Amino acid sequence: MTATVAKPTIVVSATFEEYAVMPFPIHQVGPCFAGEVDGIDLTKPLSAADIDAIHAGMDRYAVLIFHDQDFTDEQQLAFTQSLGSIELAIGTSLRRPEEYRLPPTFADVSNLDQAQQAVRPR
Amino acid sequence: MTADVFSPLATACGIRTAHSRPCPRNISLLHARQIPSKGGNTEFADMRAAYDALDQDTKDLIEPLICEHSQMFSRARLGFSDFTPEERERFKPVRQRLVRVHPGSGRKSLYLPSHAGTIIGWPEPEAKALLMDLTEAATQREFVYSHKWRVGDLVMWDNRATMHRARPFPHDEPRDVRRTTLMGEGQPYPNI
Repeated sequence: MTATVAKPTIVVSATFEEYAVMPFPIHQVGPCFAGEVDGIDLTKPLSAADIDAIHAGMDRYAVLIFHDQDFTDEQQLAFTQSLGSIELAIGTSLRRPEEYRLPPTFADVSNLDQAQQAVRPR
Repeated sequence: MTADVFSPLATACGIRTAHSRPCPRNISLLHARQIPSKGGNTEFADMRAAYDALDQDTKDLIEPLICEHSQMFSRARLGFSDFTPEERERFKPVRQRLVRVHPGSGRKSLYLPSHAGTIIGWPEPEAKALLMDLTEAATQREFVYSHKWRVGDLVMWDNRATMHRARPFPHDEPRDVRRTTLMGEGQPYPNI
């Protein structure tokens, strides 16, 4: 990032380097990729600039980590949908439909049953 | 042997289903609600850096290759062999290029999920050997980030640029992680 590429308006197609000022800092935590993002609360609605910056960060780092996000299911869903179209988790689970713990907007990759108990491998 | 929904291996398979679908998913988001006292890391490998590090002969060799992907290949590797007709239909192999351009960055990326099982036009042993070699090369430590979960972590990853897997954890402890997924943009290589 240099001052010469400063752009007052953020466009969706901007690459990471084209952002003169990121709305939040990203620190690389992996050997060649993976970034940790600080200073953003994803439980609240995001600005268009935040969303563009998250996409640009994803294009560069491929993995982004946000700590201390106190999501409810609804907030996680709202954040996901603010980034694009959601894919329903249909046909991806090994659980039988009557064993589902979460709605089809979520893939349940926990080891919990419907009573929220850890289930040992049978 | 049939798949057990609550086995760690089934969980590991379940978390990696994105790649065997006709239209690969683009971004997955996983949020940690409860985590076990130890273990359970998620490891990610950078498939763009892994591609960059290949020698030119290998890049030339793999550039035109098309693989078949199916959950049946990845499950068979773990010993699951009984598939119902319904599963055979649901997990029917789809074709994907082995080398793809990652749209967001313009960089080339290896597309090597555990569901990749055959290479079109190649004998099965040679295909499996090449896929194993590439996977070994692409998952070396220098390309891997291991995420140690904390409650409240939201980790999102691009399935077109990374591979990932879950590591073991104590079975009797709850691990509540919830995934949402953004729709993929890519199209499979047409079945000709």
